[in-house]
Amino acid sequence: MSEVLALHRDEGVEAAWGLAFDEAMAQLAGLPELPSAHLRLYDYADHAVLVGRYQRLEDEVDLDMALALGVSVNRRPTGGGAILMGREQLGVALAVPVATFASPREGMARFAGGVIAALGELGVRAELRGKNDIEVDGRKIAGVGFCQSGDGLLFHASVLVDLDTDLLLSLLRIPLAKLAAHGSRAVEERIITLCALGAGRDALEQALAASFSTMLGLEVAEGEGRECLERRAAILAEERYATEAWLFAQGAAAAGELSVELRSSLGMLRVIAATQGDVIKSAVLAGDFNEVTPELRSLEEALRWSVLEPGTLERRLASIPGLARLAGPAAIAQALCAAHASRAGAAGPRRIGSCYIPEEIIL
Amino acid sequence: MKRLNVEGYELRGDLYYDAKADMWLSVEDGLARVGYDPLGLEINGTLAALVLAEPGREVTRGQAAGSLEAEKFVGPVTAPVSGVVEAVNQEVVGNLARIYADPYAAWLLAIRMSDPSELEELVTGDALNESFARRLQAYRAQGVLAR
Repeated sequence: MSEVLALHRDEGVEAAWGLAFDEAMAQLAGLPELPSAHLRLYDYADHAVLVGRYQRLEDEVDLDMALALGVSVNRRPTGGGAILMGREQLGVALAVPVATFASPREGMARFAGGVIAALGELGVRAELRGKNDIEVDGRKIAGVGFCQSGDGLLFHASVLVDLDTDLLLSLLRIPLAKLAAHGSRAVEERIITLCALGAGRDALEQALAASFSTMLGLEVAEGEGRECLERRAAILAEERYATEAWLFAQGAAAAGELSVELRSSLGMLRVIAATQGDVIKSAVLAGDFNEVTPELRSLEEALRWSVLEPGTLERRLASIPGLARLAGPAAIAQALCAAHASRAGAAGPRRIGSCYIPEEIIL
Repeated sequence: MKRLNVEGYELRGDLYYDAKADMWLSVEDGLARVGYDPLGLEINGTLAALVLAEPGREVTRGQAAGSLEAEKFVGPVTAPVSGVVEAVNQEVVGNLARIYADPYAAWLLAIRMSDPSELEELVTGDALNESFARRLQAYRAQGVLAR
């Protein structure tokens, strides 16, 4: 094993190749005569939609629109929601042997810490929220993901250098897209980009290489081990990422969507939730209110990752201070669970959400 | 069956526990049924997707026997023992909410063990209290579990 951090840079890669190269890095990290870790900084050719490992492609993406716009689609080996990748979204992939960290959890936290530290070098104060959102002042700038392949761990981040929100909403079937003209504004209110912050991509790339070099205690070696990675990536692309079996793999639980209206002290409150099985994966609250109150924020946050079982959901909502003044926890729980139950078994749209949208969104 | 309660977490003295996989195991005639223990469920958060090794596949203790996506974690489901998967509890995989109703009724995998000596690396009986308390302490120190 060569005790270096191999650095690989790629521009405008095709979707299957981009994903295959990442996984090749994980599979070969730390093998004899190869670098002990790989860092890849790259972007995709405009544009590619990449769904999460457990999502159904046809549920998450308007495939007709993607075809019409020439947007490629593929499936990541990592979990999470669908993302739009292109020349203005920086991919950051780090691959290390499994034994590098005490646990994948620790590795995920340290990887996110490396991205946050690099942003900090540019004067951008970011923090990790939940398990995979990196935010700046409550607005998402990057999503992080993780998977294990062979004896290697692959950590991935997608940093928003810039983002075409209209394109995102036209391609992804996410709750925000249901809000028509408000959707684009709502996305822009909830994300932040390097461009908007006046930070440069080149500077971020330098900071990322330095950050992970320091974290791992390894010197950076540009392109080391690249030939082996390319050979392995070619096999992975052909056998996995370029196959329909991989693209259209079915997740463990069906995705779906709920939309219910509730009476609240602020007037009618509309809850649009994306579900997977019996779990709410993301939610949007809409209504005639002008101000996002703490109770509304807390309600949305509590809805995320709730199990759609009346008693369990009511108990979770009952813990929100002041929610009862807005609407009764029991009424909210029953309305959502009833809508879920009535939808069960019925064919309908199946949607989860997007990695780029912070999963707590209030309009 | 001896039931224990460590800081609000229910444990059962007749089961084995694997601290690294966060799983319980019931073992009978070399067949281990395994599921997430209450602490494992808490540190993963709400499960949204679970993909498990299919029957007939060999699994190795400490290695992936599937993968999961949950509220707080996305990653491998770790096999607590080595052997061949004999069954997957599809009723639970298809309805993950059942795990929260009773974690000990919601076994996920049945593994025909290939190396019974691995049970010596697991914790059971009187050793549970102290071992579980150490797990809690470690997870709190890592920030995985609230203090």
